[in-house]
Amino acid sequence: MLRYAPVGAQALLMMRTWSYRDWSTALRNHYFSARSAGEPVLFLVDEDHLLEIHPSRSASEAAASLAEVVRGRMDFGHPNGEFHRVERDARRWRHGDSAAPDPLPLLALCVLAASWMGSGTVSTANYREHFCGLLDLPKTTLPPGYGLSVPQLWQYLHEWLEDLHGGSYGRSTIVKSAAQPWIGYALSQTLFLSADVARLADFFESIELAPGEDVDGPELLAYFRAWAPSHGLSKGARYMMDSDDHAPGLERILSGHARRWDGTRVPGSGERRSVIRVVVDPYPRLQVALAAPRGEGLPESPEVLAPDGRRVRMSSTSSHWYDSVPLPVEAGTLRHGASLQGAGFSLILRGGEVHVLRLDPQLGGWGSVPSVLVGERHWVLLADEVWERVRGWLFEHGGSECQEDERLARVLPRWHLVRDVVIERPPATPPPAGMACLSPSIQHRVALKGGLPLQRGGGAYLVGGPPDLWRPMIDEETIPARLVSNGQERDLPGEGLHLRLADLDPPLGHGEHVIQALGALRRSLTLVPSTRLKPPTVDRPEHRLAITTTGQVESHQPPGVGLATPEEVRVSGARVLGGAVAGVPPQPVLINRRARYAVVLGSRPGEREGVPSRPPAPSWMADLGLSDRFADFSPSFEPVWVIETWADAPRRRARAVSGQKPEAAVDDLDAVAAWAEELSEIDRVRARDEELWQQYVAVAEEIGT
Amino acid sequence: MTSEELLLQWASERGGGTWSEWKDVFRWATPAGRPFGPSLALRTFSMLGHVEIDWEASRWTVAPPVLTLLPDAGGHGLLTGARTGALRKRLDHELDHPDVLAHFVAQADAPDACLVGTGSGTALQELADWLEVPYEHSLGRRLAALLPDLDAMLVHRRSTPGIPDLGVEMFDAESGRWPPVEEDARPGLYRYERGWRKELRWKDDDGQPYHVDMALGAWCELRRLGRRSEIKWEPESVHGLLGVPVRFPAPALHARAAAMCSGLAPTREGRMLMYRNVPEDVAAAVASSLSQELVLVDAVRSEGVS
Repeated sequence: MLRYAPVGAQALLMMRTWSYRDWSTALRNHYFSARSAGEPVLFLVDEDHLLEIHPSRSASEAAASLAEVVRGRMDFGHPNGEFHRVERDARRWRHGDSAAPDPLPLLALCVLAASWMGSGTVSTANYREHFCGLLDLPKTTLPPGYGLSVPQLWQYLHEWLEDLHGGSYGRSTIVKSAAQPWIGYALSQTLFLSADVARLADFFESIELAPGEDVDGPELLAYFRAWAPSHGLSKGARYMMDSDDHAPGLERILSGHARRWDGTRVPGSGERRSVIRVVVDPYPRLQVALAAPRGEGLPESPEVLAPDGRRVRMSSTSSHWYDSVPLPVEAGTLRHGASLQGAGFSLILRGGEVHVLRLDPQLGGWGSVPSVLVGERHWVLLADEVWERVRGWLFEHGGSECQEDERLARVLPRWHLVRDVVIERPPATPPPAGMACLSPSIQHRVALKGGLPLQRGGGAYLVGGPPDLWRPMIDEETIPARLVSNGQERDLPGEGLHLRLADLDPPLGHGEHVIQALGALRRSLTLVPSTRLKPPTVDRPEHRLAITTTGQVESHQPPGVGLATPEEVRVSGARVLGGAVAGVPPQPVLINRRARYAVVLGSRPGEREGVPSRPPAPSWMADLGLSDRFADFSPSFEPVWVIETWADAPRRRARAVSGQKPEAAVDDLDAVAAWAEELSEIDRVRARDEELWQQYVAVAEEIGT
Repeated sequence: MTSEELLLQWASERGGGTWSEWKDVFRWATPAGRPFGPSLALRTFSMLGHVEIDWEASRWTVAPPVLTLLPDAGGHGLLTGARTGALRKRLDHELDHPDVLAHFVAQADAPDACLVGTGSGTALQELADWLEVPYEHSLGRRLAALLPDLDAMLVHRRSTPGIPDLGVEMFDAESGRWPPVEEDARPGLYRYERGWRKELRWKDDDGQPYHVDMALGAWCELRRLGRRSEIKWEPESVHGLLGVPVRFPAPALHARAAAMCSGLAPTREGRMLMYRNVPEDVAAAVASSLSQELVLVDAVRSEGVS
């Protein structure tokens, strides 16, 4: 369907007078200018664009003019094909001869013909009908030489954009089609419409693509294929998405726009779109506000059209945020959303019955975000209408710290605020309908998370501790994935967005494993067995205690920065190091409960204590099934010998508990004599204690004499 | 293998890490539905001598392995500190000493306790030599002799006031909860939102703020409120049960002194955490250092309902 626009008198003078060069210039200015630097460019020549390009403001007039100049360059009857001259000139142009005619008018005509296929079949016959019709040629066959020249011309355009100009006039989205080698080039430029390009902002927001984040084309395409079906794309875009043939072109479109994504730019246009955030400021009094980010390129003090029809001028004293948002902060606004329209940009508040908030120090409060992230703290605003339905689920799955903040009632009636919601893992029961934002994800990506990583950043994990596989849910379906290990493949169970690889049967053994998902995504991990007997050497923080000369603890420093002084006592785990610790008894000795009697001797003659009857074994040991073979005894001196008297032979048995040699006697003759007497009539001494024993016996004999 | 045992083996392989890494691994390793969070898990590992925590830097480090003799425990020793899978395997399959047997006792919400049964007075030292780890005795009493009191713990903690801009909560000692407040001028224990974590400040009656952790802050606040009968001790046949309220956790060294008397994590009974095999003198040292009067009870367990 051709369309017309009003035409001025001067413009009429320009009608039908355009030359081939006029068309080249106009097409180049419209599609391949410095404005498009770095951006994927679709050479989408359809009626809407012709209206903009040609001064007639008539699509039919423009089309006729375009066809006329192209026809004027054709070599009818030439043995090398009827597009020989165009191809010859284009070869020079592609290599930098700016005086040589470029092939843009002919290629534009190809795209126009492809765009007219409309809802008809995508076929050479359909295309030929329109292409030959434009050139007023017989429609039974494409012009001779088409198959030789036209694909080559597309290749020249691609090289001109990418190789000669490095993307400074736009990035090429031209891709060869194996299935349709003649018409596929033109077709690829018509499938993804401007409206589809503009929807990419929604797509990038849905996967929480951060500005500057590097995600490769195949992965982006995989997510796009999962996201797009329920998001109103054009028929052409859907066709492109479903066709492997067009995958490379679509990847280029996606990755090119992703590289330029700054969070506000609407791809394919000069328009910008910024998301207004709900902000809850908790101090000193709880307040709810709206904050509009002033992204790059947005004006400092724009005039905007508010929903009530008022024109309001906004201001920004900072470079990142507007000072205020001219929207009422009330229940209805949060529930239904709103937008502020400016010149070339819009500020949008997304409405809903739930707003998930995450702390944003830049905002000075808790700002709305698309959804919950695993393990992070969130606050959740819930509308009254859904409160009863959702609160139970939220308190069940939101962690032990979550609580309602009832102060909200006085600032935002008919809404509820739940603080400190932490969802650690996918809940057993999904959130209530319409609350998908409460379902935790890893930025809606395929990701490996958790496990027992042996180094920061993952990669290598302890055997038995592979990470979990997280997969976004798209239209309530889980993305399929498979596992490749040692050349063996297996499909991974496909229910739910979180799969515990540690639970697979058979379990993953040591070595490398690769997860493949959506055809293009690969995640690898390596499992390593434990071989280390001791932990790696690292700086170990210690408790540090300053002790006075009287043994009092003067100060304590918890583990952290700083080196201990030599006087300080340090505690690391179960070790006590350095300094002098008072009040600790000597090491206890173990007395066998089955012995009838026991006595303990020290290194000084006179140091002797009999062991009193032993208490029963503690009940906690019986609870654990531990034997009570021994009982502790702590003498008042450092013990050296334990001498036990048994009912059965050998009756008196001696064993050393220390290697301390004999020392000077105590000043108590009776005690010394008793000590010496214990060293006589011993029936058994352990072989390894014999040498020491003889030293003590010698001392005892000397005392005896 | 329990999730906590797995966590210990991983921590021992790593040697140390950030709080964020700990949370990630805890989340992965722990079954859903457990009321026991990563913070409590890390404190439990600390009290059992397995890790040290630098809360300021949000980092943890595994402690070196140590063998110790438990008091009046039938000659049983305890292997604490780092324990890799390979070390455990060595104890399970390669230990060939006639007088030594290693038992791994599974615990709820804690790694397995490695208790070592011995058949002689020197067996533990011999085992320590074989494992190439240090041997300590009377660990509970050593730590009890070193317990800092509240003032000693506050010496290096004088601080600037907390920053309330992102929100502040105040501890309610009665309920154990943290309701949000709109000012922080009064004495008390406050929790300030910082984004990646919450910072605590305890403010004394003179308005001096101190940068504290939950345990220190809670006991300082109890002292300020004049509550001095929170810690109980129930005698058993040998030693006794030390009861500390769940909502007022013991500081790291205090908890460790109590736990090292049995090598076991305290069990929860009602509103109390019960440490086993704690000698009365150790219990008294814990209580007095926290400005508490040790309450001797016949049945501490019944405290759970009071």
